[in-house]
Amino acid sequence: MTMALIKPKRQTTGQTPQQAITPACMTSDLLGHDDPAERRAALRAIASLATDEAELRIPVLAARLVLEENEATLELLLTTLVRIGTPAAVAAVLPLMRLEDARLRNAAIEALRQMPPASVAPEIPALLQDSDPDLRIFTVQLIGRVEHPDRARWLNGILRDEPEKNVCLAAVEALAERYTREADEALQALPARFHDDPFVEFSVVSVRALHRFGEG
Amino acid sequence: MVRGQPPTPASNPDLSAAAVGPSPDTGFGYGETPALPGSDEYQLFCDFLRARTGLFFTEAKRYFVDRRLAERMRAVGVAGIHQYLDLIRTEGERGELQQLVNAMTINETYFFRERYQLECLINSALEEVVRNRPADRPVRIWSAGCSTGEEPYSIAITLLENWKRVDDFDIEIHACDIDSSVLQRAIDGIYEERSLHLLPHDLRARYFLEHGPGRWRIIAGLRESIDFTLANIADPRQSREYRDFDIIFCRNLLIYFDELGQREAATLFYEALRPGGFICLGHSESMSRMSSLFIPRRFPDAILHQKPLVSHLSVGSTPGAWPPVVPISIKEDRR
Repeated sequence: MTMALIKPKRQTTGQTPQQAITPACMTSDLLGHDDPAERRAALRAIASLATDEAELRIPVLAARLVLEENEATLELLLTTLVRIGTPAAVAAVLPLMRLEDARLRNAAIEALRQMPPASVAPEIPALLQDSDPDLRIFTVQLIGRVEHPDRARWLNGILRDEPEKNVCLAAVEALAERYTREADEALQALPARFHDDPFVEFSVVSVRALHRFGEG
Repeated sequence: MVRGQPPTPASNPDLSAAAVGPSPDTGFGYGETPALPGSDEYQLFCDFLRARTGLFFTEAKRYFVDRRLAERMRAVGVAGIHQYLDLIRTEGERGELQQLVNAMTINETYFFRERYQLECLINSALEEVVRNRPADRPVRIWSAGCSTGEEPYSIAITLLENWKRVDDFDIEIHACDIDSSVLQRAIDGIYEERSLHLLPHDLRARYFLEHGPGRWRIIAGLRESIDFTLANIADPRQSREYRDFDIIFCRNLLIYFDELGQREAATLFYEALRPGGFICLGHSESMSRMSSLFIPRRFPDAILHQKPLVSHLSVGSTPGAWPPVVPISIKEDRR
């Protein structure tokens, strides 16, 4: 039988597997390499380092975050910071939440969501007090998706005290995704705080009905 | 990622024990042992599983199914099979069905599994991939996590039988797995009836030779045309060797990775693909839940995920770089 398939010739980089990994001492320099593949190799080398070693590279990673123009490399920058996962890594990602670029902003929220809650949680109170209501909305979106014992307390506080309606509605949406009984009292009281907007009451009624339906 | 056939009692003593009863720390909410299905109910369950997932179990694999089914029923706190199936129907693809699939598909594969993707390959994806391609540039396909080889052989047979441009290009099929034992079985190319149940008889006659009772072996020409390699795709040192692919099949593999591992694997596949190349995932996997690097493309037969022709960021902050639209030429009106 004639086969149109050919046995592939193995393509190799000419390196042994041990050589193929970027030496740790070269990672910082290679993060600025012209070739995105070299930059990604450097990032993978950093991700494989022990946390204290990797943490030393955070300043250069943070600098690359706003310069990086290659999509896959940016993705790997973020996953590397998630792998490091320390408070310093969280601090490197946080500035992206203030960017106008929705893709970067959402990528940052997604990265923060995947980082250890113990590293992210200390940043939440300050973010919720930020003067920019958009940043507070993004913070609520983040809170809605993290697993942390303070999640209910944070959402409660927003529903009770947050002056901006859209931030409160973001908290209602977070409860729609994952309900928490501790927020029920503040949730019920929310329509009275924004009695001029029927959408607030509609949202609250919908979320509570959804929860009751879910409970069966 | 390790895939192979379901373990047998002989290979895994733990399975040979009647370990189906409840354990005190399972969290089973009803304080009772899940009622294992009777014979008719077992068949009902297997039919349901096959219809929804393609997984195929017979009475002979009951020891394997019962244990995992009991574990899942305990985990969700239901006591009977009908109640459990109702729960799956209510929760849909993303809920308990996924958990059940994870429990049941540790190692399951067979020829022409999720055939609609193979049809999509020859009806749509390859036509795009080779558009404007010079004849001396080969088509490169990678079966990542190939297990015992059914997937790469199915791809090869599909191309040979159904792709009308199969003789226009050299075609390379690479296949890898982390498990050396399943990889050796892939290289040997010997299969039992169970793996071949979806294979039409004429294809079996063309591409297999009988190899003892109930066993069939892939013909040498086909076996030798596929490059099988032991590799762990999650290891950058190994995955770095995989480059310039047009198509990657990675089906029912990423579900075994954690969330961050899936994101990292997505970047590896992104690097391994040529611009405009496609990745095929399993029916329960969604690239958009793992990474935003790829563009979902809906074809008549299936949804595939495509590496953009240009990086999103390099064209500004547009939501995605879609393949260029081929201009339609309009003939001049010569009247």
